[in-house]
Amino acid sequence: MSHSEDKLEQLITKAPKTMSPERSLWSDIEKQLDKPEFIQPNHWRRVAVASVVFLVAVLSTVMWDRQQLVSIETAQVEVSPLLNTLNDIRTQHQQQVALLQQSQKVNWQATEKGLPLEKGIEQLRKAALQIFETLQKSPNDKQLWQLWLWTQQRELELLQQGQQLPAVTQHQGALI
Amino acid sequence: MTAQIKVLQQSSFNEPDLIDSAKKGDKAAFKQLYQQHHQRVYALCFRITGQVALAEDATQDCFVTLWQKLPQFKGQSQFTTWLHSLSVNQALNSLKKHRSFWSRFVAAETDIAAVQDEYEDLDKILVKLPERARIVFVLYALEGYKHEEIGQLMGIASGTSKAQYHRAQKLLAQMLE
Repeated sequence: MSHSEDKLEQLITKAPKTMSPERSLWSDIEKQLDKPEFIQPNHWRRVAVASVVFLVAVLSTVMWDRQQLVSIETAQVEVSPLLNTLNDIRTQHQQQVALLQQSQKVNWQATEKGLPLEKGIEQLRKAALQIFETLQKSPNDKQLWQLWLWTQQRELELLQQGQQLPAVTQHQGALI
Repeated sequence: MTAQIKVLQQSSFNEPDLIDSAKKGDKAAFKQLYQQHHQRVYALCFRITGQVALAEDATQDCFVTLWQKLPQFKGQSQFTTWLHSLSVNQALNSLKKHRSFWSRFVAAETDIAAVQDEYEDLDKILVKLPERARIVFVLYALEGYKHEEIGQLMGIASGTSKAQYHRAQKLLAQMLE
């Protein structure tokens, strides 16, 4: 070992574990303690917000169109075979979600990146429920069907992406 | 030595109670936790960021995050280990947040003269290292992390971490010649 390497080893050994900051940091910290937790805007949050805005816009248009048609059409109140299909697809989707949740390897919802994703999924579910209820009243609406199927597909995709998020490890490095 | 023992005694004094109180929103208890640990957190942040101003910001961010995440601490690991892990992550995040576009291409402006007056031998030369090499060196040589763990933290391969460590070691040895 050369002299400089030897000296470096000595410096590492005697390096202090603590250092004093040049100024007191507590007052600035204290001011920030009462602020609500800051969530960094990220990709998933933007996707979730965009999805919700899109869904609300489409839903509003569809609802408005339907109101226009109500006066002309005589609603077919009888149980349509489409309603059975609607319920079958919903059950199938719920089974797929349950299966995905059972095979979940990591608790990605607890991670920093998982939170906005979880919110996005929640909003998608709410939107899907609204569409489902509207579809029950008017099962012949093709556009609404497409939208409903899209929300379900998107929910499955987000759940799968959530499972690919990295898990947080707790035990790393030395003690303070 | 007596002073060191005193510091250790203070740092272990009533810590679980302080943590419990701070979890319930007791700022005075949290301040005591800050007083016990801020010098260690600051040292870590200074060595990772390599700049006084950034280290101060990172230390503040660490304790604000600690306040927010404290309810998640269930006592399964030692508080100090948990805080250490949180501090490293926060220091790396702060560095990323404050790093300007141009700083990726131009070396950070560090007042080496001021640092040399202020700090101990190793810290005087650590700040002269390139950012990535410095972080790897600090985490591996001073904080006892493995290259695999460093790789995960920094989003690099463990082989890259090893290469950066050897680079840092070589540069530091040259500075000491």
